[in-house]
Amino acid sequence: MKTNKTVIDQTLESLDGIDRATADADLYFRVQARLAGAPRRPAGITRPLYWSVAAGLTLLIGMNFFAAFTHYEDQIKSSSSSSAMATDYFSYLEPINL
Amino acid sequence: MDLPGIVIKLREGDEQAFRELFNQYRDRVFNTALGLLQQHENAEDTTQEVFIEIHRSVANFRGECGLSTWIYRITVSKSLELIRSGRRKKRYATVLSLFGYEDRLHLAAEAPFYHPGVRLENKERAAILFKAIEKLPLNQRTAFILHKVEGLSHPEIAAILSTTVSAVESLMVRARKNLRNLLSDYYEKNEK
Repeated sequence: MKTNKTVIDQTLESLDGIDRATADADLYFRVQARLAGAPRRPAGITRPLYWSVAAGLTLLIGMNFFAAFTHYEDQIKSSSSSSAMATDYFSYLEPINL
Repeated sequence: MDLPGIVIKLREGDEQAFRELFNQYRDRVFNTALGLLQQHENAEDTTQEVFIEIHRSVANFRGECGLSTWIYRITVSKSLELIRSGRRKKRYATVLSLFGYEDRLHLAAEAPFYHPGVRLENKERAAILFKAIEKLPLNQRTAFILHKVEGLSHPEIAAILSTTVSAVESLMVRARKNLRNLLSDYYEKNEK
């Protein structure tokens, strides 16, 4: 137990006298290159704004789809017979005068 | 050039001033990031991100805190951002592995970390300590790394973390206690 505690203390003290790590010398030029490059994201477009717009568009498309589907169902229900469907399909034809 | 002078020059877009600031803080930023991230490439990327952020937002620096404090804050923030995104990727990799998709990068990330500034005789123990540090809550980990790796005092750490000195002292006490428990478990399992 005493030995284990000593090992733990030694491990906890292993960072004593640590020297600061040094970065690569060419890091400045990499930073300059990135500053000189195009911005990754267009200015003004933040991540929350982006996701808010995406969510809004998805909702809008979904609602439009739902409305269109509901309207189509209503149309089907309201027509009395298949003649109504035929009228829809062949409405572009002129009536034949016999 | 003194630091307040550098800030004025930076706001004017003086590239020489930016280079001087970079040279003064490069290793501090890199060392802090390296201690937190325990990976050389990530630490370099984060260092770049920090200086890009400094370049872009120096106009907004109001001098409410010291320039060093501000730079360390950005460094800590960027490093923790990367750690959090890495944890999300790890969870995703774990889910994938359940379906038989092994992530080699995930396994490689478990390799021991050797900080280049550690004394040779302490190298192996320090690697074990860094593994334990990785398991600490982020606030304890940050305080511990800023103190032990970057050599900052408790008041300096308190300024960076926007908290009180007593809060930092509490974090350090808890960090040591948790590390002691983690190391005790480790050595019990690895005892020969």
